[in-house]
Amino acid sequence: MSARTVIPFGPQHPVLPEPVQLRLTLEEERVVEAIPAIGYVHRGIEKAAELNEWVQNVFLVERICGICSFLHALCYCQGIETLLGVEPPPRARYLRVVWGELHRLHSHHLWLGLLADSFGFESLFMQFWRNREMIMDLLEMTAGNRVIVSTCTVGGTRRDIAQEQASEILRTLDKVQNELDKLLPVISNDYTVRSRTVGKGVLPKDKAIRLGAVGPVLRASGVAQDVRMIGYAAYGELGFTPVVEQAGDAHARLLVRMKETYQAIDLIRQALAHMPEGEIITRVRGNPRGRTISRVEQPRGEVVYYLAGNGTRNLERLRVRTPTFANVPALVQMLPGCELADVPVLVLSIDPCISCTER
Amino acid sequence: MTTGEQPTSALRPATIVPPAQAPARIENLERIPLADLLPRVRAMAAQGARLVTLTCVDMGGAFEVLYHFDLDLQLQHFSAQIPAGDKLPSITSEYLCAFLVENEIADLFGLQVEGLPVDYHNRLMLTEDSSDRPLLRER
Amino acid sequence: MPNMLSNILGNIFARPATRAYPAVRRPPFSGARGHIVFDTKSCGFCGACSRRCPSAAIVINRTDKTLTFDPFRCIICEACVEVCPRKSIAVDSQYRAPAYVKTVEVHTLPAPPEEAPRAAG
Ligand code: SF4
Ligand code: SF4
Repeated sequence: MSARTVIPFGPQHPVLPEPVQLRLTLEEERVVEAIPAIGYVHRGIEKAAELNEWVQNVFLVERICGICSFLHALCYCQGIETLLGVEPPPRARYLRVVWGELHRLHSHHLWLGLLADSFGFESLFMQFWRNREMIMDLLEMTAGNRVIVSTCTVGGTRRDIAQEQASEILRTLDKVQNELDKLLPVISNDYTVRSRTVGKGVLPKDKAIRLGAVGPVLRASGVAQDVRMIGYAAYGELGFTPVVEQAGDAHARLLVRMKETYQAIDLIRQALAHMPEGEIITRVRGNPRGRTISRVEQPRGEVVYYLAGNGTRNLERLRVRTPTFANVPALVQMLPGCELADVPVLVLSIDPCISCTER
Repeated sequence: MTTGEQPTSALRPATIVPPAQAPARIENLERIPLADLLPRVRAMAAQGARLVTLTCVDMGGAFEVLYHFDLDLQLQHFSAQIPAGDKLPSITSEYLCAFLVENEIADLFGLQVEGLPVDYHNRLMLTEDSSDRPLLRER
Repeated sequence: MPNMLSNILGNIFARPATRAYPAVRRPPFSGARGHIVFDTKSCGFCGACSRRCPSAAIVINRTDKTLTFDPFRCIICEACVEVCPRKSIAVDSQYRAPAYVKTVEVHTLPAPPEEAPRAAG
């Protein structure tokens, strides 16, 4: 047996600006074991949510993760709506799809850029981030903020999308799609991209399920599971099939996310075309009682909220299982057998969001 | 504090919906004795279910641990109750991925978990000098 | 490489995608959440905004009739704007300038001799 070396990957590492540590045991260049260590920046949001009033928590849960902020608020609001027995008006459900998919679009752009950056493809990184700026402007135009849009609230949405804003969204999406068309061949065929991702970190289908992987990681292993299929918000009324890839390697995860950017554009177009007129918010009264589970598909996968209310203004318990928390065990199983130089690419291939792991 | 005067958004108030009559419940929730836990979890694993997560709730003197499973987007939950001071059996023999969330519960609630393959000894979320159990209810 | 070639050539001749920021500024979108402003003339010091504020940025003293606002806690969520019964709070679309020291604003009921809201350290 050759000598073993232990290398701490993180919590400060050039490819991953977020604090997570992987203790890698190496045999020469090969990883034999990886132990994750999190908790460097745990913020105790679950506890803070018990101390705040439930109306205020919408703004708190948005800050679990900036990139998925709207979808956290959506998941929380849907849970509270179930507890209160309130239905949001139809227009609000469509508006939620628009903002939700804009978030998915900009999050996937961010990730696609970061992955390119992790194997040194700087120009591809800049292309994606330049594209992303157009989407950020759409968010600022419609919601008033670039990242934490705060448009979702219990009972509906807080802002409406006017006709001229909708046409501006459609015009910008055409531009974004045009740019993506130029980048799709790079992602799927380019020599650099393929040599760094194809066959790396293969996660077979049964293992992916057993390890509790979610979102694009699960779908890249051939499991057609997307929480949007249960039809929350207006997804049940829009045409949509989950993106699935069979290979289960880093390249499959890349393709799933690339194709989901097209899917997000398509869903926004559909939602804007079919958006009914009417109210955007239902007035809510009373306090949440009982308990429920709420699930939403975020860019990184399924997020699960457990909410328990006792009829007062404070929730009894709020538990949040974020997608990266579920994908870390899958990552830990992917790493053994790979080379040290591939670790950054594989870590990024699950789209780690440590800010949401450290609620 | 009355329940009726909840501050609501002043934006375009629409229809007023009366508060829900009965408290909401979780569907497909089954209460099981702790002894049945591992066999039931094994049965879920044999069906190919995905472990969504575990939720621990402090009930004062006891904990309720909820196990959430997903089978083709259908959720199935098991609820087991465990008195404070007892040890929770780990389900990592069936679902390895549970090691992270079981360690988290051990940290934040002080509930001891038995049979963890990777035990962080209450230092996954908490710092070396912390003796706090942040998610326990204050009484 | 050929996949990126047209892209590279296009970028050589295109204008930069960035702006020379402090010199060239894009005007904010209407409805952008820049910062919040108080109109203490109409404020009734009822405290609704301070109870609703998720980050406890507003402190109301009803006896002194003062409203203390900490702009560095404020997350510009607009919750106070929605809840204020007298419409005394509004959102301005301009961002605040960055600052070296954190200050709080103390707003008082404008007394007959004009005493403008002043900043206190
Ligand atoms: S809610 Fe409006 S009126 Fe009441 S204290 Fe705040 S600013 Fe003044
Ligand atoms: S905008 Fe939000 S954070 Fe700022 S003072 Fe108003 S309620 Fe508080």
